Amino acid sequence: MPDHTANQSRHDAPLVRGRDASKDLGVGAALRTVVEPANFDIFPGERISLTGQSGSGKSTLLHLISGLSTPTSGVVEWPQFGSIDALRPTFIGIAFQGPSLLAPLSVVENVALPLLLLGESERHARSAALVMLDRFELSELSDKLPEEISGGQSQRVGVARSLMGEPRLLVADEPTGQCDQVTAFRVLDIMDELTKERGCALIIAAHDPKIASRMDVHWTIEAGRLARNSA
Amino acid sequence: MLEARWLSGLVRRRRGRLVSITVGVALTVGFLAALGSFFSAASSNMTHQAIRSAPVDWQVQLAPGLSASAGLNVVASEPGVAKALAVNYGNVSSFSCNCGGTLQTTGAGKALGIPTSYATVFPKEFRYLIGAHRGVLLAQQTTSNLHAAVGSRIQIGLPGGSHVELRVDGIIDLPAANSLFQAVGQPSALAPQAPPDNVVVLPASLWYSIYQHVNAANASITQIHVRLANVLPSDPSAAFSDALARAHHLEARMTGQALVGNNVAALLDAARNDALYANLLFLFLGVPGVVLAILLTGVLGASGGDRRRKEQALLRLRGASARRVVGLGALEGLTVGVVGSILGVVLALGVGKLSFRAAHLKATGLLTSGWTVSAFVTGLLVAVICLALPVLRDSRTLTIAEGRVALGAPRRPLWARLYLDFVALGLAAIVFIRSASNGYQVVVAPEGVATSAVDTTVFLAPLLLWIGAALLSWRMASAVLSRGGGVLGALLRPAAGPLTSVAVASMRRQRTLLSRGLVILMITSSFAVSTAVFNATYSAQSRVDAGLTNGADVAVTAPGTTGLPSNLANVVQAVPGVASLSPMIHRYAYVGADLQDLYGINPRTIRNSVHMVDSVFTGITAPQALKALASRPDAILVSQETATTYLLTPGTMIRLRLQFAADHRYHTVPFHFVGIVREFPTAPHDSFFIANSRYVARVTGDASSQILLIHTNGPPPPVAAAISTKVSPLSGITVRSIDQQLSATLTGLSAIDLSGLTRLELTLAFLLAAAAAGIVLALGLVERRRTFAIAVAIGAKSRHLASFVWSEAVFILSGGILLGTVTGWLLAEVLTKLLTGVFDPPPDHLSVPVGYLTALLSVTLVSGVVAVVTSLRATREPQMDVLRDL
Ligand SMILES: Nc1ncnc2c1ncn2[C@@H]1O[C@H](COP(=O)(O)OP(=O)(O)OP(=O)(O)O)[C@@H](O)[C@H]1O
Ligand SMILES: [Mg+2]
Repeated sequence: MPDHTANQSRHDAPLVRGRDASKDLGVGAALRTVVEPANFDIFPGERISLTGQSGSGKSTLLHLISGLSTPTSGVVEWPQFGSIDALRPTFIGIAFQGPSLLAPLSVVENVALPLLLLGESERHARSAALVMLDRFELSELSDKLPEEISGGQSQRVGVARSLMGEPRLLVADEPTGQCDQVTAFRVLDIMDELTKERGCALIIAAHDPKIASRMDVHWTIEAGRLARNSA
Repeated sequence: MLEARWLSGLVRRRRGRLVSITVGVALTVGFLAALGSFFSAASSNMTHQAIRSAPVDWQVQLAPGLSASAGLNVVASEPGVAKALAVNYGNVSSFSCNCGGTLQTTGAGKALGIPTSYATVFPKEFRYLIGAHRGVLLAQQTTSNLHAAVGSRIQIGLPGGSHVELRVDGIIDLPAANSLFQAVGQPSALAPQAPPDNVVVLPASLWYSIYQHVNAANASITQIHVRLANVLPSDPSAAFSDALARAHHLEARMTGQALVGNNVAALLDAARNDALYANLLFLFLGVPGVVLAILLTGVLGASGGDRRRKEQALLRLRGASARRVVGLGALEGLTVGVVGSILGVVLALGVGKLSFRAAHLKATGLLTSGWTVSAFVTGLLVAVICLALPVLRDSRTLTIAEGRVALGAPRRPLWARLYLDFVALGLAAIVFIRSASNGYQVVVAPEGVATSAVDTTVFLAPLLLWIGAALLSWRMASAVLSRGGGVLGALLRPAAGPLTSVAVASMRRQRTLLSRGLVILMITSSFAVSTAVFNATYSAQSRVDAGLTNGADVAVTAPGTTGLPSNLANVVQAVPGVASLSPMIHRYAYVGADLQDLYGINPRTIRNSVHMVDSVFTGITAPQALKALASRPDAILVSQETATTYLLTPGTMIRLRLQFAADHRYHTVPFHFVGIVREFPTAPHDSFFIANSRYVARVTGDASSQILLIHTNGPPPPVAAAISTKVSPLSGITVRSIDQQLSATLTGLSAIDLSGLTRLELTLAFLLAAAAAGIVLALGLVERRRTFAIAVAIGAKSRHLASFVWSEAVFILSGGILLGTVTGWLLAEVLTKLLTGVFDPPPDHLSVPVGYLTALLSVTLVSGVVAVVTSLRATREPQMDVLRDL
């Protein structure tokens, strides 16, 4: 990535801005602060890794960033995108940690869904989905049902789907957790290509330091405390 | 303790599910207890009414040689006999009176001798019209035949030729003349007897002083009239058998010296058949409701499988054994069962108060009744099975992949591959046709056998129809979803827009879930529709029945065969509210040796004042039958029973003997048989004739009519009251409105009081249909919380989800309601046919309870819409607990 892009983008408004954003989960005795008040910005084209132990709060933080949940205190804003209701699928794509395909829909229907939600015609959405699946080398699976494919395959379909709305920010929560390393790197390569092609920012949660090291910015989280050690 | 903590945890976290299952159990128990208690109360009520309606329980006829006092001693000492009085029946060859300046003479009759206390012990036998209540009492009809009055001197001719003169002290009516003058010991079919036209009732001492000098053979007989103590059991069948056995015991003790005319047994015989029909109705209409309530509770119990499996896995992880986990499920079921059952019994008490007359259901009676106990046990079982069974099943399969919600391309179920739906429908048709071929004889009461029974195989027809229709609905729903994509797409496109094909695909792959919902809704709505239509038909038919018995809105009837005053028609016509009237002739005619009722009508005008239904004729419509009657003066319609007994065929000439006015003797009159009639307004249910009144009047020389049938402009009762003021109370003429008849029929012996049952059932059907729509849709949506959470996470908006959810809801609601209505209608049709015995006559067509069905439709739709809207609202907030798993 040419440096100037990143530098230049630092002068723009951030895509996501968190100020003292915290998140409590649970009720009653189980109530606990899962994400301590955190300050962060994600700028256009920025590529961030988020590492931390299991249970440290990675997924919870990503949910805040992608607008799936609201902070208990502090604020999370999307200066370039507008309100929380307008984020997905136009601006933010999400690839989940667990199985996330819609069970009643086939693979190609799952992948086409973001475009359909944007009001694209069925024909266009379907052909775009097929192209995307081809890109991820998943063409053979296009007419299968989620229950007929493996966990790793389903995760890759999820990644393909997350890029369908041509988002400005891709939030990926251990997107290759269920794949072998070779496949994982293949998927990451394709993700890299696609996000770079489109100037799409990327935040990816990962255990694997090799994956983290592919990114430019590194965030770590420990027991809910976010630390940012930029490259 | 794990158990206690588990239960308190459930109450805190799973309140909705526990509450809804408790409500399901309560409904089941409440309905079962109320229904069962209603039927046991109804049948004992029938017994009591039967016993109370007998004017005299037994008429014990003594053999000629046996003295009255000897017979009385034996009968009075019989266990169970409360009162016994001797009654003498003396033959009278003629009555005559030189009254009002002319001499009147009648035909033969009877002179009764009764003890002084008779009228107090058997108050239903006599009605005092005028004059003294004791002394020489002349029957009203004889009085009018003789033109006599109180104080007149009449002569009675005795067997052997002598005469005595009596002074009339009072005039009476004999309301129970048919049983009073029955031929004891002879099957009524062989010796049907019209009660004598002429009767005089004398004090026993006077009777003896007259008849002790009569030497002719068969001049008199003696009967002991008996009132039984309150000894008969409350079940009609048991009471019937007991009444028979007691009578046989007496006959055996009297070694052939006496025969018992068992009036109370005859009435109980009718009551026990009614009770059987009540049981039939219970099985046909009540049991499906209970089954449905259980089914819905089961659906609730099986729901929330994902969550339950997760909790179980947690328990297992913490070291609970599989048995302990199942035990916890059973404990949960037991707790819900006890609470639900108690609520159910309370509900039954409340419903009992609301639905049934106080006399039917008393709280204490309900609590102690076996029905309540069995309902309670059923409630416990249902709860335990609904809650513990899914746990048990899961505990077996927990290791196998997580339960996947009915998705993908499931193998066609076994029943579908075996075509069990068509098999069930075919068998239902066969059972129905077989039942139709024996004239829908549901209650089989072989002649001479004391116990009759219900032919239970006929239940298979509606049951198999219900099952077959449900399975076929499933097949159809499934076929539409898997193959009707094009049609579905076209229907959904306006709402779903670009998401149409996704919505269609999603529906296709979830066809098991959707078909299940549709079928549950179809079953409940068919139950509601069939119950409502059946009940509406039944109550409409009660009115038709009352109309047939009463004849018209208002009927004016002369006593016996005396004529109505000839100017009465003009007087009545002038009464406000009278729209039109038809006079009718009522005489007796001999066919062979048998005396039957003969009615003379004007076939051209009778329909102006009488509502004629086609079902009372056999093979022809009402207008056709009347046209045939009008086609020739001597035409006659013959009752089904008479035609069968005497092998008469339409088109032939038949000869009857009618009494001529000139000589009071019976003469042969030819008639032309033009058609068969099953029932006719005012006519008895069994044997009678309908002829042209003109012809009857001409041949007998007597144009008087005995009945006036009146059609009113407004409500009949005030018109009847107005007419009553125009007739002399002494004339014995009765004025009766259809409403009086209806209430007499409905509370009487020959009809089962369905109103309480109806209200109960309709309420339950209503609740079930409403609950089913809500439950099916809400649960379907709960099962897919995950799907919706993902869709929201990738950017679906409320309107997108709404288009999915509404497509499915519309499919389930419209399909379920449509197929349910068709099936319900068919079921009502089948039930009505099978229960032809309950309807007298059978209805021409089903009645549609528009109000109820509209309300039912609205409540079903509202419940469905509310379920969808609340579920959709819930998806607006991202479902965090679901997202954690993503
Ligand atoms: N509903 C809840 N109530 C209380 N605590 C919760 C709840 N849901 C999650 N947690 C806790 O929040 C913490 C953070 O969870 P989160 O899923 O964000 O971790 P994570 O870093 O993504 O872990 P992993 O790497 O395993 O995915 C965990 O310790 C978890 O136990
Ligand atoms: Mg995580």
